[in-house]
Amino acid sequence: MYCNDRLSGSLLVLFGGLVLWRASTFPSLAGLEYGPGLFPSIAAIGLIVCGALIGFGSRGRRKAPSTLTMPPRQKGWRMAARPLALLIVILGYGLLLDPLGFHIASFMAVSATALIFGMRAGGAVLLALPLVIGVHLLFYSLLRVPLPWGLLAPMAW
Amino acid sequence: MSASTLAALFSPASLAVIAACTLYGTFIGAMPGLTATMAVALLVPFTYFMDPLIAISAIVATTTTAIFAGDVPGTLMRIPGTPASAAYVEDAYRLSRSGRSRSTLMVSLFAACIGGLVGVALLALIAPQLARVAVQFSSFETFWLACLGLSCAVLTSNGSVAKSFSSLFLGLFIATIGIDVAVGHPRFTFGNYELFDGISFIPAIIGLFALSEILRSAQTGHRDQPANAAQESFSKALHEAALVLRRFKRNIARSSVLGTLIGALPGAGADIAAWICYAISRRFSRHPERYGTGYIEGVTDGGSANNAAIGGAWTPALVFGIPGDSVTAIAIGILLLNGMSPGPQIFTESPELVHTLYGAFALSNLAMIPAGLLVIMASSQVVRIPRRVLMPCVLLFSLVGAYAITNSVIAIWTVLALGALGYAMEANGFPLAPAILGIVLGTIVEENFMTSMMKAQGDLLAFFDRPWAAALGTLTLLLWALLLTRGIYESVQRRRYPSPSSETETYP
Repeated sequence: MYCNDRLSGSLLVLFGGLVLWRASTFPSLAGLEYGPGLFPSIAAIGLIVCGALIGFGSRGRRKAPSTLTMPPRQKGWRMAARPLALLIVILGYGLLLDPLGFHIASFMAVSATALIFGMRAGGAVLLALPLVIGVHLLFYSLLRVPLPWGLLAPMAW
Repeated sequence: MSASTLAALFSPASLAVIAACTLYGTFIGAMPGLTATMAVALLVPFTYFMDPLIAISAIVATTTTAIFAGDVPGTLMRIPGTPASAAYVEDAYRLSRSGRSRSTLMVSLFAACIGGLVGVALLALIAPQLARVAVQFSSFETFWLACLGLSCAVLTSNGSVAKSFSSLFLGLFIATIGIDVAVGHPRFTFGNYELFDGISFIPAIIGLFALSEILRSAQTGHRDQPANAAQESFSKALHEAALVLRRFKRNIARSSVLGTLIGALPGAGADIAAWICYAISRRFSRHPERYGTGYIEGVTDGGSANNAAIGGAWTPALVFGIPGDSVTAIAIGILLLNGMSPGPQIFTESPELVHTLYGAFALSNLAMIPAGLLVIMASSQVVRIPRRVLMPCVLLFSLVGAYAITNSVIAIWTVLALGALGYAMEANGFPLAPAILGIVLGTIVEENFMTSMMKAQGDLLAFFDRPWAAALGTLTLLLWALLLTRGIYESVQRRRYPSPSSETETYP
């Protein structure tokens, strides 16, 4: 997901512009020239200035510094696709959590994540099943978080 | 410390939590790629259901041990477990290659313990004095302090000035989402009622720090195995470590004190402290040429400095309610959720919280020694746990932990959005710490600004009327001028030398 500074700078300018436009529609405080729009505007102007500096202030072609906590990123489409696939898994989890219930959705999400990280199907299931049960005991039974039951509602306990 | 605080600290529940968090912190810190901040972020949903005093102990115990345990993969595999271990990773790894991994890790364990104890002692000494001054502060001074904290976050971050500021402004923008403090106008909610209270803090933290790391780890391939050099025996390693500690006791003392002070700067945390103390150690060493080639002296300095900084970071958090690093930013969020607002009045209103904090620090630094020795002996097994097992677990805990806070799917969306944002930011060299400080401090800055403006009827000069406000305001403006000059200098430099080596820029 590395893009060059010119692109990220432009995106920041664009985003700042949008925020500034929205903030200008906010009402102002009685007796003062500013109100709820002031801080969003400051943030927006800051983003525009910084975005311009990043994208156009220099040659804008420096490589992102690699973080020392991790080995260097691998090249190739498979590696680039993995974070994207994970994002899709989370998107699906958010969409399916209420209709399917916590247990089914979590089981699917954990298995899918394990597959993305290169585990075999059998291993993924073996990991997901105890994990979902463990999280259920920890969050639902111990911490009393009302996790949704969804399809499994008839057998809720 | 009163007897009741001691009783509370040594209650079975509190001791169990500290013991569990010590082990948890050791484990997360020892896993390459899982940072101390992430350990705390994943812990937060649990602390939400705890008594605030126990919650604070849990956070303290987790960070203390996670920062030390970050040395384990750094020493064995040259991959620092947390950024705070990065300063001396080269030395530690080379020592490990020559078969001295256990003694090296024991040196950093004991240095960390001493650093942590010095850090909390200084915290206990300085914080109440500062609080006495800070009680007189009004919204004007708090405004400037928060601005100072925000600027320090940029000053001390590793990235370029423009990128650090962008990260800060993104955080400030996120803080403005929801109903505004002055007139109650909904901002950037697009009619979604769940956003009226603003972006939920804990899902935001989990997204920025946990999900972004999972995504990052998904993109990296197989790692190399730990160095399999012959291991020293336990007693020999312990003996060796004791000799080193005695030889470099001055270094440890100096770096513990210095690390605490650096940690106390708003925005500068354990990693900055380790870098600075390592550099200073090299400058004053008799053998500066041996640094980076497997020399233990730098390890004693960095190892004590980063743990000392954890205690130091609590100084601004407790006294002013301004976080010293991303972990205390999270801790302040938890205190606010529990209805306690950190600030000078906390020393008089809830002294038990402050005393518990000191006690938890001392206790977890001591509990770290057995846990640390355990992980040192088992270290080559611990770092080998495959990520394909670990990451799905971390992901599920992130998602369910976030959900537990809001009890609605909005938490999942927050994690998703901020996780993607954090991942994209890091991949492009934007530091994350300013963003999190922006989210926490943005609300404080805005609230105090609006209150002050209503008090002063819109007169901006009122921000310089009171003596402390004037002093803090001038300091802030000076800092802004400094940052501006640095930003301009940076962009001129880049024009002259189009591609500076990224290494020097990342870690000054």
